[in-house]
Amino acid sequence: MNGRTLTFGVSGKLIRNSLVMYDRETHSLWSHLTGGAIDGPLTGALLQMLPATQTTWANWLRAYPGTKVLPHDYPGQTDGLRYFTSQAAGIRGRLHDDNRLPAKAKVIGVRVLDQAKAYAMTAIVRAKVANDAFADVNLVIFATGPDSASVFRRDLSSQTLTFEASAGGMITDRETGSGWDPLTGKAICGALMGSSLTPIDATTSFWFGWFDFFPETALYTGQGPVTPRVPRGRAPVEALR
Amino acid sequence: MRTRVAAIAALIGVLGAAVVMVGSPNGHQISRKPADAIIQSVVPSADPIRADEIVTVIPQDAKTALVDPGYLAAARAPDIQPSEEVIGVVINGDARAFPMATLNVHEIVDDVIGGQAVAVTW
Repeated sequence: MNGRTLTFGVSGKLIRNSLVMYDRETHSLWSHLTGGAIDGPLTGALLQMLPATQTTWANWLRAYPGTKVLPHDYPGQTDGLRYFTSQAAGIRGRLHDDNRLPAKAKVIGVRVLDQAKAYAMTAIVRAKVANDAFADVNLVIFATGPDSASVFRRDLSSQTLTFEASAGGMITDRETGSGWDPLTGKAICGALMGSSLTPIDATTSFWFGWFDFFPETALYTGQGPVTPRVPRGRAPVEALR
Repeated sequence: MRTRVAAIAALIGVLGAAVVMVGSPNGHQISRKPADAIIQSVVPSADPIRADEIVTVIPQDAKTALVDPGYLAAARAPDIQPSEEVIGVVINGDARAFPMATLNVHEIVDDVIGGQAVAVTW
């Protein structure tokens, strides 16, 4: 940030039931959902969000055999699943309510310019792939595991690709028949072998958490078509954040 | 997300956010406002956050962020189960995996990956 590297710690505070970080250099407070400073000297500053992938260890290791991994704190450590599986939605009350999905349904959320859209995880996992055009950007959402997904632009040079899952589970594009790795976004066989899709930073969240921050969000639930409608090759990369 | 003890459960909140952030020099606005003033509208389409929405649930650093932690080569990590959820990050060819089990405890990892200073949080 302005030539200075910030070091973040856990503030012990929440904003709309989500983590508030503080930086040790200025003691400003930051929302981990938006990456924005919400109190202190750096109020209004915004961290750049980078793409990250959520998936299973087996799938990650298959895609990146040279990966390093953060160890557990102790052998056999597991994530505390109770909050995931309980009906309780949030520690503090919710600001907004919405019944399009159960509060604790998982979504993967994307922001483009001033718009937000969430994709229901169950719908993505069921379909394995969803082609979309949102805020003038052609997107594809791939399932990366039983409860996780990744998001990429589906424009490659001047070509817009349309992805589908074959019966065997292989992801292919309709235009060239090339095969794709849903985790890395790389073509692994066919005419486009070696090509890479551009990843888009996306946030995995509970629906109620996403909705509390982005009450005007669009939502894909798997009902009805996800209709591509953007002319090929538009939407500059800079449009994404 | 996650957890067992009530006090800690409070922090858990809402989001399994696969998020990596890096400092950037844009968007600075420094000012002071009353508690109910809108203090952040920098994020497009977000419902503006007000200062009085920030609530304290546990002491600062009750959960300890990791700074420049040690990593294992994949072959030396038999304790990570194949079905475990991880957040994966690749920057300039440097691939790192962060088990949710560990992130659940520490919430934040401050590190340099592929030459880039980042905070991994969820």
